[in-house]
Parts: sequence; C-alpha cells; structure tokens
Amino acid sequence: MTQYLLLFRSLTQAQRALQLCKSMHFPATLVRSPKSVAGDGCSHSLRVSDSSLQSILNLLRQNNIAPRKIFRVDRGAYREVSL
Amino acid sequence: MIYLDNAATTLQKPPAVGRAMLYALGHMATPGRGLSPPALEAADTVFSCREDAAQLLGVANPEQVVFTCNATHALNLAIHSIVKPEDVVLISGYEHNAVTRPLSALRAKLKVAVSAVFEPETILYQFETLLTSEVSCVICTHVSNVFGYILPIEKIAALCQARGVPLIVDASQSAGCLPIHFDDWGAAFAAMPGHKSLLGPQGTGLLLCNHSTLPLLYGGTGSDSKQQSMPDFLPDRLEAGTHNVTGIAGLQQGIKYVAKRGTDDILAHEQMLIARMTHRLERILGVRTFSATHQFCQSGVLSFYLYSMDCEQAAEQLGLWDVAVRAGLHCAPLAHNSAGTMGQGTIRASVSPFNTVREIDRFCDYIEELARMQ
Repeated sequence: MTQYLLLFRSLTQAQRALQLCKSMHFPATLVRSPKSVAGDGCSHSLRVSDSSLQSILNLLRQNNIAPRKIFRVDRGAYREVSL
Repeated sequence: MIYLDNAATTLQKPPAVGRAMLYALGHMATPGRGLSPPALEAADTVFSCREDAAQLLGVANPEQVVFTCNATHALNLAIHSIVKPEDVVLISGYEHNAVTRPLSALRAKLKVAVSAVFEPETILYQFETLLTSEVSCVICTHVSNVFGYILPIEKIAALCQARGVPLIVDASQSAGCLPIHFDDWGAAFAAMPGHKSLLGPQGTGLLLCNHSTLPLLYGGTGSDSKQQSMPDFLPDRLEAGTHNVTGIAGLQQGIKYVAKRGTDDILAHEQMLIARMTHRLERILGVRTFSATHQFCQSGVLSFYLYSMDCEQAAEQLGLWDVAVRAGLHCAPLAHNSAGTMGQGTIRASVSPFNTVREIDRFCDYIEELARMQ
C-alpha cells in the first residue's frame, strides 16, 4: 500500500492534524520527519495511506492547516509531490 | 490553617492536580524531541492541555495558547511584542508591577485611566477620553489584585478594537473565576498564571496570542533546527527550551476542574464568601473595608485595614493565629494611588473555590479580636 508523509511546521500543528484525522477515523501516524526530508531541521509528520490522502488534505484545508510539504513513500525513499 | 491568600497563589488544588504531576514525573519525557512512548505521552499531555485551555478561554486555535512560567513572564512577552522604547501606552490605574515595571524599563510614556475603586463607568470614560492617536498600546487588568475590582474589560476591548489599538489583558485574577472570551474580545494578548484560579501548580502560565510576537528567550524548539532564528509560528516561537511538562500535566487537571465546575459557579461561591466577610467586617469598629455596592464589580478579594494597627503587624498577628493573608502594597502601588491607600497599605483576604463559610466566620472572629487589641 502506498503511503504519504505530510510534513508540518510544528509538533503542535501535526498534533492538530492528527486529532482531526482521528475524529474522522482516517488512519494516521505521528512520526518525526526523516532527516532526508526534514528540510530546515527537525519536524514532525503524519504518515497516511494513499486511500485517505485526498480526504485528509480536504479536511486539513477546511481547518486552515496546510502541510509544508508532501512526500510519497516509495520503497523507503521519499519523493516530494504537489497535490 | 485558614488560607486566604489565593490571589497570590491557590494553596488547595483539586486532588487530580497532584496525581497528574506525580504521574508525569515518572512517565513523561520532553515533547517534540523524540517519539519514544514517554516523549509521546508528554506531547499528548501538552497538546491536550493547550486544547482544554483554548476551550475554557474562548480561543479557536490551540496553537495560539502559549505556555509560560507565570503571568509575569506572559506579560513581559506581550509587552515586548508590542511596545517599543518611549511608546505612549494607556493603562488602568490598577495595574500590577508585572505591567508597570516592564513599561518602565522601556521608558514608555504612560497615560493612566483612573477611577476610584468599583467605578467601572468612570474608568471606561477615562479610557474613552485618553485613548487618542498617539497611544500605541492599551494594557488593562481584568480584575485588580488588591481590591478585586472587576473592570469593564469587554467594553474596553470593544473601544480598542474600534480605534485599532492593540490591547493586552492581564487576566491574572480572572482566569478560572470569571468567564474569558479571548477571541470575542479581539485583544492582542491575554496573560494569566496557571497557579491562581486555574488551580495548577506554580511555574505555569498562559499567554493567549492574536498578534505578531517577539521572543524573549531564544533556543531549541524541536522545529526548524537548521534555522538560527526562532520559528515564525506559534507556539514554538515563544516556547524555547524544555517545557515544564510536570507543571502542565497538573495545570491541565486544574483547568478541567474549573471547566467542569464552571466559572459562574466558582464566582458565585467566592462572591458569597466575600459578601459575608464584608458584612461582618463593616460592622467592626476601627475597620475600613473596600467593597463594591454592586456585586458584579467585585471578585473573591477584599481589602481592608484597621485604623490603629499597621497592616503588616495585623497580618503577622493573624499568622500567629494560623490565618494566611497578605498585607502591604501587593506589588501594585498604582492601585493604592488610585484608592488613596498608599500611606497605610491594606490587608487583603482572597478566597478560592475551596474556602468555606465556617472559615470566613472564624476569620471575622479573629479580625474582631484584632480590633479589640488596637
């Protein structure tokens, strides 16, 4: 199953996003952003599945939360995507 | 002990506060630095405390709730974010040194909205008159820590919004016992301690933010680590270093207690106790009380003095009888200027949700005894 990484600016924002996902029963896991994609340094991300990605992005948009970056996880590698 | 110094700090907390702090000590690490189970548990607790605070205090976005060490830290952050050296600042005549000292350090030019105690219409008129175009910021206490005088903060906030001037509210004596609607006020900041009526432990405070901010402390935030400037987003921008997770865990339980009981109920209880105290003390020869004609003007604080006894000596004698009050100027000389009590200071009795009628009656018995000693 393809997974995506939604990278957020802060732990607090990632937690808000996680809580929203949980409220709508979208599976999501809070992780520390991999070093290779963390950009300006440490950050937190949500790992989500392909099947819920669009619904999650819509939900976040409705709540004025915008991930900084989105990565597709492909056999352990991360490829930035824009959606 | 009869503890009546809750305006300084509440001594009695809901039992869940201590339990949460003890649990945190052995089970919670630091949020935002790792994702081990103890770090995650700390992160969850800190986040959910932000949410609980946001809900209680009328803030839509929990990211706008910043943890501080106390209200003084929160006020310094707010003032530092808005006031530049020699700015003109309008304040009420009841501000605490936590407001006036940072302003003094900035050499701010002060305009002071004065009124006698418990005259909200007068003080509002003063704000309306003094809020002119050169004022860059308004700072106003919600409730005077000396007199329990509830200022008309909603009307002052509306005035500031109408004139486009940022408002900093000192909610030190109101958070947890009066309703706070931060988003509705449209204020730039509201600062409050966690350890007074929010019933959390010392070492905690909150700053509600709706304005650009300038950090006072620079350091690690667990975010954007490569950048050498502080993050430009809240709460990280104002929360450098390790959080007081133990304190925040306790604060969360205090907030939950307040939310469950309701500020209306808490205020009604405290006002009832103060009204009972005032009724007794007013009838003691040699005692001068400062009380409001209308209850809506006064919170759970009563200041008074004995005509023929130094207030500090009176407080000392009360201490020997195992009664805790505060005496003197209460770090608020401006309030004493406004009320005309700078010379003698006052004795201040301040209640909490846990004080009882019996304690108030016994306290009044002791004041009668003091009056006989004069």
